[in-house]
Amino acid sequence: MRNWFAASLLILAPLMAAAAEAPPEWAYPAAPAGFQPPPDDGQPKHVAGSTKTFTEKDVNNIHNPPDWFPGEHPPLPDLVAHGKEGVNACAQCHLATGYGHPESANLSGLPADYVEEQLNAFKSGDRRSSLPGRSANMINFAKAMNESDMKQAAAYFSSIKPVVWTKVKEAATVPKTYVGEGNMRFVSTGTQTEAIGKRIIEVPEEEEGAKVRDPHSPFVAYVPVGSIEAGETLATTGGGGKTIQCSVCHGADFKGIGNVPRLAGRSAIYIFRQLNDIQKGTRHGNAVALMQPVVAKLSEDDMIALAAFMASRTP
Amino acid sequence: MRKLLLISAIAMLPAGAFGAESALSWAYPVAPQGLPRPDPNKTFQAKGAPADMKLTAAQINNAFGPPDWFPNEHPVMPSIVKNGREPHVRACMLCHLPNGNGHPESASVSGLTATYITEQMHEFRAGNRMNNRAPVMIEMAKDITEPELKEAAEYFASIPKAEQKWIRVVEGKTAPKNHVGNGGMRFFDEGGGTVAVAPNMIYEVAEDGEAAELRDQHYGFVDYVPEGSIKKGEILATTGGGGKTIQCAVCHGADFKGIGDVPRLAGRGAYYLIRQLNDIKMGTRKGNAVALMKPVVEKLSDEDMVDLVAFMASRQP
Repeated sequence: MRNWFAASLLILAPLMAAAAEAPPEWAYPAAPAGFQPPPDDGQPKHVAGSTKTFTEKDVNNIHNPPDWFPGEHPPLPDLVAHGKEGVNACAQCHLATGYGHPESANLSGLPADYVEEQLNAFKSGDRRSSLPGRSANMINFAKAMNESDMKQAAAYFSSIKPVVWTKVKEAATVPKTYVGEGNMRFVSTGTQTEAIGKRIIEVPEEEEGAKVRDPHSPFVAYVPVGSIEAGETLATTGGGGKTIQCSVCHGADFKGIGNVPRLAGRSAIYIFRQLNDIQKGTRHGNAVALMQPVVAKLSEDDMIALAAFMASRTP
Repeated sequence: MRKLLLISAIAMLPAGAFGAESALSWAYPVAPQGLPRPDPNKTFQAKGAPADMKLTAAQINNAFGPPDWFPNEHPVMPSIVKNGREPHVRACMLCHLPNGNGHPESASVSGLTATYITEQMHEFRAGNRMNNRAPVMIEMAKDITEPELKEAAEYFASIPKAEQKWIRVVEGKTAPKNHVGNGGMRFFDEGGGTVAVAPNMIYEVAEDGEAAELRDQHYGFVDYVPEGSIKKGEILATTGGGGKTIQCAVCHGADFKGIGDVPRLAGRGAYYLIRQLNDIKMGTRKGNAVALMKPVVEKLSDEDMVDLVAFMASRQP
């Protein structure tokens, strides 16, 4: 009986998942099950401009990830540099500068109150991904953090001046890519290309730099032809009632107002995920309530366009 | 010393910041000096209150135990709301009343979110909310504990919609003659007569003067607003007036009842609302959330603000 019940659940599970509409794979990259990174050669790694060396093991040390350019940022709070029990070092995924990787988030220069509010939203369950389980790490870390941890980390990332970190390029065809280490998307070896379709393909400009968490190693977001202009029209006019002009709350240059976060120059797939998660209702809460009418009528194409436009703006 | 500091901080604010020198000084009413003192032995009773509940003026104005004439008409009140805590935190209901609807010189806090109310107390504490009435709130905000604040905020947030109707808006060229009296409130003149309502003027008058003085929560206020102001306010609020401002609905909701922690505007008193617009424009109310309001108010004239608040006060809360 129990087996039968379990079996019926198994049969139902994919149907239920389909009903909940899995979010687009390209925006929520995950390495395929059983993905094996190439074996560690144990050799010291270098990045241009830094005298430091780290091994593969150092690079992936969740409690002491590499800080290639300690002279380029304020002193790291302990939590950012090392984390604590149950909390990975923030710098592990967001980098010591907060610029982050496309699968995480760019935190540089966000208002400290906003960052703290988001940690609390992870903690309370108000910030979940529409891809079940994708926020599990942040939820667990936030639950293990106390208020002082949150304040330290938030104040630190807030103090960093954002740089151009996502270079947006319109393209009809893109290199073939795969999702690998750290759930990051990389260009496949060879020169094969494919149609971009209705996707944003965000990859490191220099694969090796991103892999070793170099804060000088930015990303390229390939976006569909025409999407930047379409996004600009939506963002600045509201598209005839389809959405609300972003500048009302995010500022004329989309760099944020008060505790409302900047959108300009952030990762395109990050922005897409937020629009989509808010539309699907897995990211909610009091501040997000203001975004509900903004996203309610947006199609996936609209969200791609908005994300392409925002990522293309100077931060 | 503490008081002296507050006073000197206020003295440093730009002239006109409180509307004192501006055409909007009427929105910041102050009780005139030398009002007659009430007979200390005379007792009063709110209409419909329990027969044995008769209170002297001193009891009615007791900052640490003001009257709760109708205790069955509201949720259970936390001690900080009912009695405050001596010496610095007065009972919230002294000015905001048990239903949170407040008097024109204070604020309607009923049905706002607990987070918003808490945030505002923190803003008073931080000096981000200043005007001629603010020193009282600042003193309390500095002394109230976080648990007390949470209780008070949750209490006022829990007041049901039906209890939030408090303002009646009357549009016209004239209003009944009225004057500023106790508590900085406006009362109808006993002698009757009318007074002109200029396009940049609102009279917010107690529906029943004695009831207001008794802190009776059964009687609200009337806003006498200029002729045509409600419609003009509606156009500004809903269209932005061709770039003069931003549609209020974007953040305050299609019915202006608030979204998330953004406060409701619908049905709140015109005096409170115009003070906020003006204080934000003058920069005496500031802070992170208020930053969103800067571009909303910067091009508004006094008359625009009168129109906006006339419209908002007239909406169903």
